[in-house]
Amino acid sequence: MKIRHVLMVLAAMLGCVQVAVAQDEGLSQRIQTLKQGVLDLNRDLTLLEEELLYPSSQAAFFLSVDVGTPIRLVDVNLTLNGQHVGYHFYTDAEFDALTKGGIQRLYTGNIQSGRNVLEATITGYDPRGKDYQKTTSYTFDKGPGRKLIELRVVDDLDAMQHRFEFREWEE
Amino acid sequence: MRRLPCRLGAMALGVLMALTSASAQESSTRLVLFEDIPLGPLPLGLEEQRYLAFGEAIFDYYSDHQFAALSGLKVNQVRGLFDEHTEYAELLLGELFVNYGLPAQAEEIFDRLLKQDILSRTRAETWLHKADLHYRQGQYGAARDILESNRLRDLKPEQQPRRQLMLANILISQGEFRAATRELDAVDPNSVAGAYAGYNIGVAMIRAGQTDTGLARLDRVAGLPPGDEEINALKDRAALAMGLTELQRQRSDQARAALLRIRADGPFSNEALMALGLANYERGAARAALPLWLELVRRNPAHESVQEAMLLAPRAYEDLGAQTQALAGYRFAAEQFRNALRDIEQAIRSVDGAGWLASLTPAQVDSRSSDPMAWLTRFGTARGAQVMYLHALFAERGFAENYRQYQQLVRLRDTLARHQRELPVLLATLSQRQQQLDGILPRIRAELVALRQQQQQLSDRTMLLAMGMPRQLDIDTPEDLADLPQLIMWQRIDALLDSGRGGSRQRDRLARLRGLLLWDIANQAPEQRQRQEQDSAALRTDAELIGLRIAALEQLVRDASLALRSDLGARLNAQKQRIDRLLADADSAINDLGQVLKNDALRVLALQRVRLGEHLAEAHLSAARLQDTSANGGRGDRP
Repeated sequence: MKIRHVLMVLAAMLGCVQVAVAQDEGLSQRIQTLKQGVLDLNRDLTLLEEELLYPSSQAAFFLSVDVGTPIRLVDVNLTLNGQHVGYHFYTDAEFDALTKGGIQRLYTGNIQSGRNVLEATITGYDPRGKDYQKTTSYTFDKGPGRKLIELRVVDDLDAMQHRFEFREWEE
Repeated sequence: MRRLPCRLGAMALGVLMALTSASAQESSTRLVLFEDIPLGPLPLGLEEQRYLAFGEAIFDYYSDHQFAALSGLKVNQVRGLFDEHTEYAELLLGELFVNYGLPAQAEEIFDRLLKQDILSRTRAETWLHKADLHYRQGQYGAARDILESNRLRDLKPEQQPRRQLMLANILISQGEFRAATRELDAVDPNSVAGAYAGYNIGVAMIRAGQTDTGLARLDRVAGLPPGDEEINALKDRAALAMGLTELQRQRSDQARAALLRIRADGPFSNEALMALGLANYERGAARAALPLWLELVRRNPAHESVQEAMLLAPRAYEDLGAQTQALAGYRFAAEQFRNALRDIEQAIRSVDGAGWLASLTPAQVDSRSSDPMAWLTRFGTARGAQVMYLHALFAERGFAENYRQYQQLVRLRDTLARHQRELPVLLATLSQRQQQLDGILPRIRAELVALRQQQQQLSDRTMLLAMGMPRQLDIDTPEDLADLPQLIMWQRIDALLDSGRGGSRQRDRLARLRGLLLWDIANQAPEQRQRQEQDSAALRTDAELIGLRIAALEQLVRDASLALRSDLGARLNAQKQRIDRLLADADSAINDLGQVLKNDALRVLALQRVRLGEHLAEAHLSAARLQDTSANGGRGDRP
């Protein structure tokens, strides 16, 4: 009798892995309304903050890599006219996101007009696991409109390292 | 570890390629390749902005910052970058709404997309999303209708397993095992989702009475090659289910063979030891069962299998005629059960306290920087007396889902609290900037007008200089071709010759010197003209740059003028009440959901208390029975 009971207890623990979850309707509806409210507020505050902090002539720098690259990006350090403006260390998930076509915004701000020099230093591991560092600079002119620059880290499989390409857009 | 779909990567690549080709067309018939990227700036059009904005959303999505991706897409909708015609962004937005827990908004997007004239592949993917939505809401009928229809005919091959798994799970829940098996046969059984589906169908078949087929299914899962922790735990679970089924069929040898496949250090080792002991006991080998149960007795008494072993081990001693050891075992069990009951009382008080739910969140997670939709490790670092007794609760899908929702709400509240703190800073920045601009704008406007005039003059002069430069080298005007020292020398000699001073001999020498200088000038003229042209070009560039800077300043002045006249302050102020209201709603929802979670935990603890009470009574009665038997010279009856 005791043995049967133990068996039933153990078997009850091994149900199917459930997929759908029921929740209290009223609370569920309240949570959905709240989530929608927070999302809308977040959107509106982002737009207001941007209106306040970044006038129509803002500049932004982005980083992307070749889709499916075997070269691992470790970190990037960014300077503008010799001043440090950004650093990012890539987690596995972030690097994975880049290799799937993601583009990372490294910097947004108001920069001086006229000639500017952007310098990027990147550390990476080549497909053989050897680390390396590369620095590249890019000169651009900032005018009255928005300036967007994409730093593309592309594969140079001959050298088993990255090389850089810049794409620049302006309004 | 959650598996994020990889199709968005392909989608991002598609968008990238489409935009690259658009850029290539815009740069007038030039094929843009790696080494051939235009060096200068390109005009920032709508497609370029979409390319960057969607790339950012993809980056956030795959970096487990889904709330940031969702917010970014909503912001870019207001900016006019994304609308119902950018179906790639719509699809991502719909999926993010599903993950965020706003199914109505997701369905609205999917329905809108399906009404449009879109690619058949995109249409099929949208239908798949819609089926997924129904599936998550438990509307299996609606989901099945879509999944079995030919609306998914043009689905990409890499998306087929998702359709098949979903359909298989629905068919399992509806008891249609043959059809579910057909769907699952096409799915990689080594994948996590495939392995779970295989396990589910096996258990469901056993429950439906198709024991042999169900066991064969479970055997396939248990026999998968070793993988990550999730796969290995599922393999153990499948072997345990097989062992228990065989035990219920009273096939001890088969049960034993299945249970021996479970890892000794896995999450199901307690159950395995217990069941293995039972398998031995069932076939009359109490001596073989005893060491397994004694091993369990040394483990954590909060676990149900350990509690059962504490009663079964002395019973096995009894069967083997070791009454003294059996009595000691029952007494030990009673003491352990009393301790466990005391722990449960403490646990109940702790769960009822204020900080219990917060104590379940992994300590290393910084909720302030964490995305509200980020996937946090569940209960990984949870500590405290109550945690030992709540393992069963933590394994429940419903509790886990509610707790995930709770964590999300807490982080959304953190986001709101951050907005509440930042709003006064934004208002102060606005006020400070307006005061500053009020003071300096009139002066800057005036200075800018003067600077614009100067720049215009400079630009005209550089233009004139460039235009006035003769195309050919003309030695009749050596001043134009000489460098600075030569020019000074030339002017000095000319002055001396023109003055008429000195004798004829000196004048002859000056004339010869003039000739030599002229020869030098003529000799260096090509290089000198090249330098002059370079200097002229540099001057033009400098003038253009100054023009650019003045244009930028004019833009800043226009922005500042607009900022002074704008109602930004009022709009920012209006957010305060909105934030306060949402914070109150968040507190209320967190409180209510927290109470639901606590009630679940208290329910589990109450059940454990009842069971432990029963165990304690059984241990006492068994000990008393043994003592009576001993006093009566071994004539006691065992129940």
